[in-house]
Amino acid sequence: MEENKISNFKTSEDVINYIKNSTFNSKDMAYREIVIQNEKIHIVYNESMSDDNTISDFVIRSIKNSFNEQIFEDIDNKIYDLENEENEDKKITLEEKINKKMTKLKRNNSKEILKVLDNLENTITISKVKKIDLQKEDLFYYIFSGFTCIIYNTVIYVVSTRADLDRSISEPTSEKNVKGPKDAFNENYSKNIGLIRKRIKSEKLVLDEEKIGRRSKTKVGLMYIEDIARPRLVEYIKEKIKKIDIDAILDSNYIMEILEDSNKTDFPTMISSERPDLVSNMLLQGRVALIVENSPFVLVLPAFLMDFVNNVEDYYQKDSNVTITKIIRYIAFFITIFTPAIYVALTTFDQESIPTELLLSFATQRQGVPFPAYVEAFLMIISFEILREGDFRIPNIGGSTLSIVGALILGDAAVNAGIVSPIMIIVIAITTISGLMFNDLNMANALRVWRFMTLIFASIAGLVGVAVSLVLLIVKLASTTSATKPYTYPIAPLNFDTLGKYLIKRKNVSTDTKRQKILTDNLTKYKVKE
Amino acid sequence: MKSKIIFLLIIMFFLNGLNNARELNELAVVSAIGIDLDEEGNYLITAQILNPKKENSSGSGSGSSSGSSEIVVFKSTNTSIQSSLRHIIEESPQKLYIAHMELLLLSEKVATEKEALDILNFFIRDNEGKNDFTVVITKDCTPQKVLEITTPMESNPAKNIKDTIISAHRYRGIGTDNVLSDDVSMFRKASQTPILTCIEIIDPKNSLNCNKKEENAQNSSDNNSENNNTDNMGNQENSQEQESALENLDDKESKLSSGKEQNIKVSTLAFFKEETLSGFLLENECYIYNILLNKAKGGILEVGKDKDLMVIDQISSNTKLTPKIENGEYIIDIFVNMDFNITETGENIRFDSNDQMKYYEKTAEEHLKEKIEELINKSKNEYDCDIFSFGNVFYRKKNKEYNTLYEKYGKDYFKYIKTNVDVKINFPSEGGIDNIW
Repeated sequence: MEENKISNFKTSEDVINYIKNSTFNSKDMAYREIVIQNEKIHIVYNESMSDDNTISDFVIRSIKNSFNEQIFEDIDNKIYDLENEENEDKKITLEEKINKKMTKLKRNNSKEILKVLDNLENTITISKVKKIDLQKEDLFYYIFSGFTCIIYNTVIYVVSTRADLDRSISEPTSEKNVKGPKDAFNENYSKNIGLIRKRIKSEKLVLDEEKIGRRSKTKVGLMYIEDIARPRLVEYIKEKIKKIDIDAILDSNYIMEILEDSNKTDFPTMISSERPDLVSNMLLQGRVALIVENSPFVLVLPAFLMDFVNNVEDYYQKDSNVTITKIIRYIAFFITIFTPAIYVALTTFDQESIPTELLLSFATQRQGVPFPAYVEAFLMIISFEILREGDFRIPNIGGSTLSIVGALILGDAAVNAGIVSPIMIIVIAITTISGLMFNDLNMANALRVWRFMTLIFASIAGLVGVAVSLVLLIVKLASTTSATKPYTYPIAPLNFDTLGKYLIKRKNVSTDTKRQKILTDNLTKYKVKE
Repeated sequence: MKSKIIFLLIIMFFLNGLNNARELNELAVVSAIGIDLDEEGNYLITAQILNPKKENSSGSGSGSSSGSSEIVVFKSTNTSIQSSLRHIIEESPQKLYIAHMELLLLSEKVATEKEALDILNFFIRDNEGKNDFTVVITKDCTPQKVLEITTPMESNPAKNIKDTIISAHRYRGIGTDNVLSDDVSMFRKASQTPILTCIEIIDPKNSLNCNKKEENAQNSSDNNSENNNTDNMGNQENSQEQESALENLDDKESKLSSGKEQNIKVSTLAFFKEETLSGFLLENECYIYNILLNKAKGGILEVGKDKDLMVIDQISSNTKLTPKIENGEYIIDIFVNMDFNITETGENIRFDSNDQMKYYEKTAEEHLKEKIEELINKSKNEYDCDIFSFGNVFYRKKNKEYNTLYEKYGKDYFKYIKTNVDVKINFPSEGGIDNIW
C-alpha cells in the first residue's frame, strides 16, 4: 500500500502530506515553503532535533543564494547575448530586455531548479548533504536525526542540521582513576568513535555499523582492528547483532543482555566501560568493541573474569608495584564474597576453629544480642545494601545526610541498642569496602548475589556449606563463556604464559612482546630493535 | 525444579535450629579441666570456665566497651568423667564446650590410681574435643586449687599456664611441650615411658622462705641482706631486736600478696610405668633428660664453679641413639652433638687461643657426659624405670632383638642395657667479647 503511494507521488505537496500523515501532525515538525520564481521548494525539519540557526543561516540562505547566482549567471549570459545581438529595438532599456528574457527563462524554471538543487550538494556550506530515494530509505530516520529535508516535487535532499543535544566530554564517573587519561565516552555516537580513533590512528581500525531497533533505530557500531581481531569472532558477533529484532535499544546494556542470552550467570561476560583508553587497550588485544548510540558505555567482548578483577590503570603505574595491588584485589575478591559466611559458619558451627582469645572476644561482643548470627548478618547486609542503593540515587546535596545516618544510626546506635554486635559491623564493613574495589556495577552486583548465596549455605551447614558454595561458584564460573571464550581463562584452561604475565604481576611493557593467543593470531606486540 | 530447590534452601535456612548450630552466647567455654579422685574413688571434676563479661560502657563514660573475661569454676563428682561433666549443666546455664580446652590437670592421686589412657579416653572420643591441649600433673597440690587461682594479668589463666609450660620447655629445657595427641601416642608405644609435665603452686607466704633458701644455697657469694631477712622469717617470734628488718619483711609480704597471691610454676617431669604415675625427676635432671631424648630446644649449663664458672646457652642439640648387640650384650650408643653460646664466664676463663677453646669444650663435654651417665644410672637404680625408653629404641631399630631382650630379661630389661655416651660440644664463638677484661 504505502510503497504504491510513495511511487505515485507527483508533487511536493504529496510528500508533505505523506510526512504530515505519518507523523500524525506532531507539533514539533516544521514545514516551510520557499517560493522561487513561482515554484515552491519545501523545507521540512524537526524542531527539537534541529538547530534553527543552522537552518536559517545555511540551508535557506544557501538555497536562495544559489538560485540568485544561478539566475544572475544566466541573466548575465543573456545580457551578453543581447548586447551582441543585433536587435532593432535599441530603445528598449536593458531592464526591459532582462524582464523579457526572464519570462522566457521561467518556462524552463522547473528544470533550472532541479539543476540548482543538484548543484546544492556542491554549494551548500553544510558538509552532510544527501539525496535520498523515498522508496529505498527511511525519510523519518533522517528527520528525527536532525536532518532538514529540502523537497522539490519528489526530489528530496537531506541536510544535516542536527542540534547539539549531547554533553561535552567529561571525566569518567563510574570508573575513576588516579593516573592515566581522564576522558570518558558520552551519549554522542560519533564522539565516542572519535575518542577511540584518536587513540588508534590506523586504517586497520574498522567500524561496522548497524541500525538496531524497529522504533529507536539506534546505531550500533562494531569496532575492531582488522589485522588483530579474529575474523571468526567478528563474524560471530556481527551475526548475533544482525539477528536482533527489538523495538528499541536505549542503552548498551540492552545489547549486552541480548548477546549473552546463552549465559545464565550473574557475572558480567562483557566489559562495559566508559573509558576510551580501556576500550583501545582491549581493541589492541584483538577484542571487539560495540559502540551503542546514546550510551556512554562501550561494550567489549570477549571478557574474562580477570579483566573485571584487574584494572587498566595498572598500565599507568610502575609495574613492580602493581603486584601488591593485584594481590590485594584478589584478597578483596574473596573477602567480599566469603567474609560474612565464614563469620557465621565459625561462630555458629565451628567454634573450635577460632583461637580462644578471639572466641572470647566474639562471645563478649555478642552478649545481649537477641538474634542468631545469620539473622544479624542478613540485617546488616540488607541495611548496608539499602544505604548503598540510596547513595546511588540521592542527589549530591543529600549525600552527607545519608552518610551521617548510615554511619551513626546503623553503625553505632544499632550496636548500642543491642540489635547487632560490633563485630558484625566490622565484618559487614570490610565486606562492603572490599566490594567497592570492583568498579563494574554488574560485577559488584554479582559479588553481592554470591555473598548472599554463601551466607545462606553457611547458615545451613557451617564451613561445609561455605565449601559447597565455593564449589558451586567455581563450577558456575568455569561453565561460563564470553563470546565462545572460556570465562575463567587463564586459570581454568590453564595457560602458564598468560598467568605469569597477568595474574600476579603485570609484565613490563618492554618485555611483554606477545599478545594473548586466545584472542588473536597476530602475536607481535612489541618489536625489540637491535 | 529450580523453584523447589530454592524453596528447600529457604526452609533449611529458617529452620537451621534443627541441626547442631550453637550461638556463641550458648557456649560455656572450658579452658581447663582438673581430674581428681575423692575418697570413695569417684571422679572429682573441676572445670574452669571462661566467662566473657561485657563491661557496661555507660557507667564508665569512656564510651568504649571492652571485653574481659573472668573465670568461673564448677565442681562435680560422679563415677565417670563424662557424667561428672554433664552434671555441671545443673549449675551452669550453658553447656560446657571443651573444644577450646588448653589444659587437662591430673592430680597425683588419679594418676597413680587410675590408668592414664582410661582417663584420656573421654577426651579422645568426644567429638567436640580437640587434641591440642596439654596434660599436666599437679604435684603436691590438687587440680581444684590450681584452677581457682586467678592471674590478674591474664584473663585466661589456663592459657597462661600452657604458655608458661611451652616457654619453660623452650628456654629452660624442663617439662615437655607435648599435647594430648603426642601423649596418647606415647602411652601406646611399646616400651616407651610416658612423661608428663608437672606444675606446682608457689605460695608467696611459704615460698618466700624456701625460695630464698634455695637461692642462697646456690649463690652463696652475695645477697647478705636477704640472708638476714630469711633468718628473720625463721625466728619471727623472738625477733624484737630486729624490728626494722621485720617491718621491711612485712612490707614485702603484703606487696607480694596484693600483687600476686599465689602463682603456678612448672616444676619437673613425671614418668609413668605401665600407665600409672611412678615418680618424678628432679628439676635439674629434666634438661639432661630432654637432651638425651633429642627434645631439648634450649637451656643453659653451668660448668665449673666460682672463678672457673662457665655458663653456656644451648643453640642446637642433636642426639642419636643407636642400638647394637655385641657378644650378647645390648648396647646403646648415645651420641650427643650440641652447640652452645658462652654467655657468662668466671675470671679464670680465657679464650686466647683455639687450644683453650678446645680445652673448655672438652671440659663441658665431660661435665655433660658425667651428668648423663649419672642420670642413666639413677634411672636404673633409684627410679627403677626405663625413663629414656631404651626399650623403644630397640623396638624401632632392632625389632628382632627387642623380642629376645624382653624374653631374656623380663620387665627389668633396661637394667641390662649398656650405654656408651659420646658427647660433642662446640662453641661456635667465644661470645660477644674475646676475653674477659
